[in-house]
Amino acid sequence: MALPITRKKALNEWKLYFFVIPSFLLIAIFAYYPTLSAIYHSFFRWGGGDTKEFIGLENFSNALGDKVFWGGFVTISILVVANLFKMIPSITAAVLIHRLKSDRWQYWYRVFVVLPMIVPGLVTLFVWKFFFNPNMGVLNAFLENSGLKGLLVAADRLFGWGGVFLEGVPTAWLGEPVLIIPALILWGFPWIGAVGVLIFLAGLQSIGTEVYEAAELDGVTPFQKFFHIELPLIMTQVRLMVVLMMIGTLQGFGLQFLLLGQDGGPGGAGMVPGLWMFNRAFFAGEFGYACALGLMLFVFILLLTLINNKYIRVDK
Amino acid sequence: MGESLREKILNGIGLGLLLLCFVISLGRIMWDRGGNTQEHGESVTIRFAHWQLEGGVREAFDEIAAAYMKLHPEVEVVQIPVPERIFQNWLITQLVGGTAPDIIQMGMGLSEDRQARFFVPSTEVADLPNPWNRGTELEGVPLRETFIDGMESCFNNSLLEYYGVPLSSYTVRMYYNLDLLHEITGSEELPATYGELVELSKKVLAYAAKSGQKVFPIAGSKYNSPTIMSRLFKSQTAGISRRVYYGALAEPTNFSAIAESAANGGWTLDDPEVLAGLKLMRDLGQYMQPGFLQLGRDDASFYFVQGKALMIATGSWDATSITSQADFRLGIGLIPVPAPGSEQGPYSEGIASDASIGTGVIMGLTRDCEHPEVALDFLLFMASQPMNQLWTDVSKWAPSVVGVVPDPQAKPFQPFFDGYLGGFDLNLGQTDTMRIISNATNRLVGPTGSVEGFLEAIRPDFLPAVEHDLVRVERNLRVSAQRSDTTLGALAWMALQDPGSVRLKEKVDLLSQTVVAGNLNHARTQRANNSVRKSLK
Repeated sequence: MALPITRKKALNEWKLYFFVIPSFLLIAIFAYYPTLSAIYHSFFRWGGGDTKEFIGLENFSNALGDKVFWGGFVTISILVVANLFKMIPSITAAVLIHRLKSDRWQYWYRVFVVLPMIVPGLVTLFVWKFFFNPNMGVLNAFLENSGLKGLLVAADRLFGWGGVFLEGVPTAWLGEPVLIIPALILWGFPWIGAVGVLIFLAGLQSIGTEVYEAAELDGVTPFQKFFHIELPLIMTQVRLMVVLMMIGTLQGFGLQFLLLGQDGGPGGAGMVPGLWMFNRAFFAGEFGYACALGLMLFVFILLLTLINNKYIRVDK
Repeated sequence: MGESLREKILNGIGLGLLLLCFVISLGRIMWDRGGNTQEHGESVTIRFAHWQLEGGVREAFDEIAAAYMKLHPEVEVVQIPVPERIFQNWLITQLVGGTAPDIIQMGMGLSEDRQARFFVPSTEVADLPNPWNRGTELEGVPLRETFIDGMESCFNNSLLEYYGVPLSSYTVRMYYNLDLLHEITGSEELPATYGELVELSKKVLAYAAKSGQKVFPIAGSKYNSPTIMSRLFKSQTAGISRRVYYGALAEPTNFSAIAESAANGGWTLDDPEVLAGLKLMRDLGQYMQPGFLQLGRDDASFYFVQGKALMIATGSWDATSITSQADFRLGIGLIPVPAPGSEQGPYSEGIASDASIGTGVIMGLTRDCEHPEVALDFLLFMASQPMNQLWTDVSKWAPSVVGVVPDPQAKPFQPFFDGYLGGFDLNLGQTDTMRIISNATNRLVGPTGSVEGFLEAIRPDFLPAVEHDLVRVERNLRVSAQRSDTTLGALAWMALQDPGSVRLKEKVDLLSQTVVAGNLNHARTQRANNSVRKSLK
């Protein structure tokens, strides 16, 4: 724990405060000013210019009855749950790399995992957009050539999915409302995120070798080792990743915007709160309303984070 | 432990450097934010932005800028090409943030209020000759009359002002792969009517089935398909538009007039004209490649230039790109619409006219411009006959100025002014109505789509979306009218102080007309809004 400094020392070392000013100013300008401005403008009918009209809580009351906004929360909830499961491959990959006996191979696998990080996210999104292309995409080609398309067509007939999988007709993954959420979930397969793997790996590396030695003496199986030693000891990292993932998923809309456009694609099936906020601001020109939506989204994320911190505890 | 002198000096240097960098960065930002034009000694920088990233256009702009800079070495002209996908967001951010370039292409994302608030009207210069036309046949001719459409495309009916000047005229056409057409039909005759287009599409499908080649009749995408589908829908609704059209200033597709009429039962989603239009859209969608609604403009162009589709409907702006990429002969034709009285489109009146399209690439002067006189001079330079000739020669786009000889490639894209004007589009050209229609289009043109399914999807949300759009338009018009009121008050006061000033009197007269028109438009929108609201209760 840092020790408190005396008043005399604090005054004597006044020059050091100059080093804090740039960071402080930048945070104030780029983090706090926009937030405060958004709070202020959420009480106005504001089109982004210098003309605005105070309307009190009208933006918030409109948002409460905005079915597109709340519909977006349903979509985002599904994506959050799916993203929870999509963390499993990252944990698995981290454990497998950690268990490698050769340090050299561990190093190379870490490099392989980190290497895709240098590809800009936008490029990855475009590549995936091409994967979903109905006529030239990899996904449909794979389904056709592996024979899985036939199974999907049969399942469509059996379960009445509404003819989204038809024989001889390429599947429009981003053109059919019922396929949009599956496509958004499928995105990023095999879901091994470099940041996640590195964070889990850091957690795993902090486990002492004596724990493994004791476990081996007790004759634990690899699965027992994972469930009784590794997973409980990296729960701090898992919780951190869950919080980051939830915030990222709730705030994010780049994926939906790029794959589906500003209206969330057919049926608005890919509309998420962030995209709706963006749509209202930059397409409808309702900046004041978008600020109110942003604040509501902020409150929602804050509540979820508090719940997460309070109820998802890590017992060491 | 105390600091040594050396450490003190090093720390001092470190702190000094940090402060210096900080001050320089801050100064740089303040300097850049200070205006859109920067003066470096004697030189002035003029920046202009546009979204036309198609082949040849940037080069044409570069050549015009270079020609201007050669005549004015003290002026630096900087081109800012902005991708179409982000242009709207970019534009709003620049305008609102006060960092907009001096000249911006007008159209995309520019609502009426933004136009009034952020752009300088070109009404004053419209009546004066373009000085850069000196020595040409257009010398002494008022600027307005130097354009093939008399600057109609630049005129705002509500604000009663001209905004910007046009550099090109663009039209939407059907592009054909002539080699493939010959291979399939044995002829190179292009379809003239929608019926012939359908027959040709059937032949393509039969050819694809027989040859085993993956060839589709029309390359579609969420960008390209609306251009042709909208044309077909509008071919059926011209009668409704005429029925609900009122007011000398209203264009045939006036949003508030159409919306009010929808609320009052003047037309409904179940009218035979609307159903016929939707059926045309549905039928045409079956001749595009499956899943086209998820594809973008580049995907459709790729299909076409790869020979995987016989036709593509797009504008003249894509001609250069397509010509340079296609290794087959191109045929260009008008978008076929149903023949009058035909079975497919019983409400069609005939070939669609380009009269409502007019000129394009309208470049407007922004209000934040620091050197308006230089920027205006460059704007007029771009719009002069010699520069418009250079424009068409380099970009291969159709010209906008009278007397300019179009490049041979641009000839098929010259506007076709005969024929009939279409009616309104179902999306009414407004944000939320467009979203409702766009979100449900898969129910119309998807593999299992139908007109009934589409109507079922849009019916509950259509009028509420129209109402939402009306509220926004009405509010924008009100703000715009209020602004004009203030300016009018100030001008009237100035005119009273200086009764001899003819120029001030003219300005007051002109602005009075603008205010009256703005208030009329506002009142009409408000009335339409009330009607829609009442019908929703």
